[in-house]
Amino acid sequence: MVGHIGDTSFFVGGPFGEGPSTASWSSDLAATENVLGHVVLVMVVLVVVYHGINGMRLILAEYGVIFAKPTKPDYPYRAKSLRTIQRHLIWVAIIASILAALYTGGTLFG
Amino acid sequence: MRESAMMQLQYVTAVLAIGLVTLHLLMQGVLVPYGEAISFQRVLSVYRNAIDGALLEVLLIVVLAHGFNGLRIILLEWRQGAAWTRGVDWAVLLVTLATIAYGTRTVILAATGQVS
Amino acid sequence: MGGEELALKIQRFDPSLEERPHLERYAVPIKDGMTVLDALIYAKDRLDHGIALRFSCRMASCGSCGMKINGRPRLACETQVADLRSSTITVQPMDNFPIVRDLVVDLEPFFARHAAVSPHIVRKGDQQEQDSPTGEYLMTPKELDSFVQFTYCIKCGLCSSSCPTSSTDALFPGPQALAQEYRYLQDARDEAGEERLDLVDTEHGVWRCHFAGTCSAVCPKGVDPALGIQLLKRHVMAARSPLRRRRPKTRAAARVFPNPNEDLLKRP
Repeated sequence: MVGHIGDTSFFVGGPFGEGPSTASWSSDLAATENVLGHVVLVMVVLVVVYHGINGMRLILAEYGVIFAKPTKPDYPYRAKSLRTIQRHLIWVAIIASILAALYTGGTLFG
Repeated sequence: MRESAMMQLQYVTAVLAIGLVTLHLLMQGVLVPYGEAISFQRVLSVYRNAIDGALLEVLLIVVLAHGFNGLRIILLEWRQGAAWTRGVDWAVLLVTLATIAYGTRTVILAATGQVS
Repeated sequence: MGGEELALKIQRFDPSLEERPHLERYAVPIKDGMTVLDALIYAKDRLDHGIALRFSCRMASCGSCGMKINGRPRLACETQVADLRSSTITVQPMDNFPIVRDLVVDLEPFFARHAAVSPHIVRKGDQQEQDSPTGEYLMTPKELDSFVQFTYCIKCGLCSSSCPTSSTDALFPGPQALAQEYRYLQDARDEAGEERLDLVDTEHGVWRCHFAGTCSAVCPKGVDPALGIQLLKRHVMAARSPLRRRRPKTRAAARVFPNPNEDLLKRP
């Protein structure tokens, strides 16, 4: 996050620049458009997509769209809140983030 | 301020971020080919477009607020104590504002500065 | 299954004598229907009198025998050896609690966190009725259903021992205390709703729960504390939101109903 804001600021010549500068931007790209930079971006996409979808799952589960109502417990005493459809959304988050990361990897390296 | 107010901020920025980050990722690599998306001319035209530039600025603020508040929560869960809590609250606020300021500077300079 | 032997590994630790815990191995003959508690009692009775452990009712009602069995928090009396499907069983004290000795942990902090949420009915302006009762506080079945599952808590501590937030945040009340806070919030007879919400709306309160769900996964009584905590979050948000609605309809003040047999209960 902070790194991205830092490196995109070289579009305007970095912390001491005065305006958009092709020279500064080219040197910024030269520094970040390499294998390490691409790996970082792929990991960012992986984590951000997972965090976003998992976050949506949590908001839905915590605030009531997919929700369990309190009832009287009975044998075998399994917790209802964990057995709604929200469990499967974790898989959606994992799979979507892997797909997004693969796509990003393909675009950057391909 | 009440913690529930901080959490409301977290939720609001989260929902906004989902939309804006998705848009940003799509614009940078899917709807526009990546190589072209990071070319100087294209980046310049994005900043100079009023709506695109404004969206980038909103993205900046939303993601930084959400991210640094999250970091604050993690730090408070890690260690407790009056001094630590006060320190973390202030440090996070300052770093958030400073980073927003730096990013906004990039946006403004790109949109209005002289090209060289 | 008779005639086989179980390798029971028990974590032993005497803080006054040792620096760190270690596992000791005991050979326990397996009988049909044997529980881990049975195995532990055998080991203590026949093999090593020095093993320290807590147990009482042996039927998942008192909450004394909570421990970590093969890596998962469980009640020893309720865990069948056969269900573990392993000839080696490792028993350790519950996590997130200070160890007193061997399998016994210090539950004082746990009870203190529970006491801190005022786990009793609080009424205001009712002193007359409290001092000389004329009847009973009644609730509708629907009002009861909205929280009855949280009353099943046996204070075994398994939930708090499995909670990831409890393991790092010393000021977090833990799933047990938070679920009980919800239980009293929802109880129609309680009148301290505002104070209860304020108590948990703090930096280390209900918001530090991230719904890992491990508490509900290990609760032996189906209390589902995670559900209680998410419902609690909902109530806090509803009470604080700019579109301030009146508190959810399930909360109704309990009424005093005079006892129909009042004359049979003549009070001096």
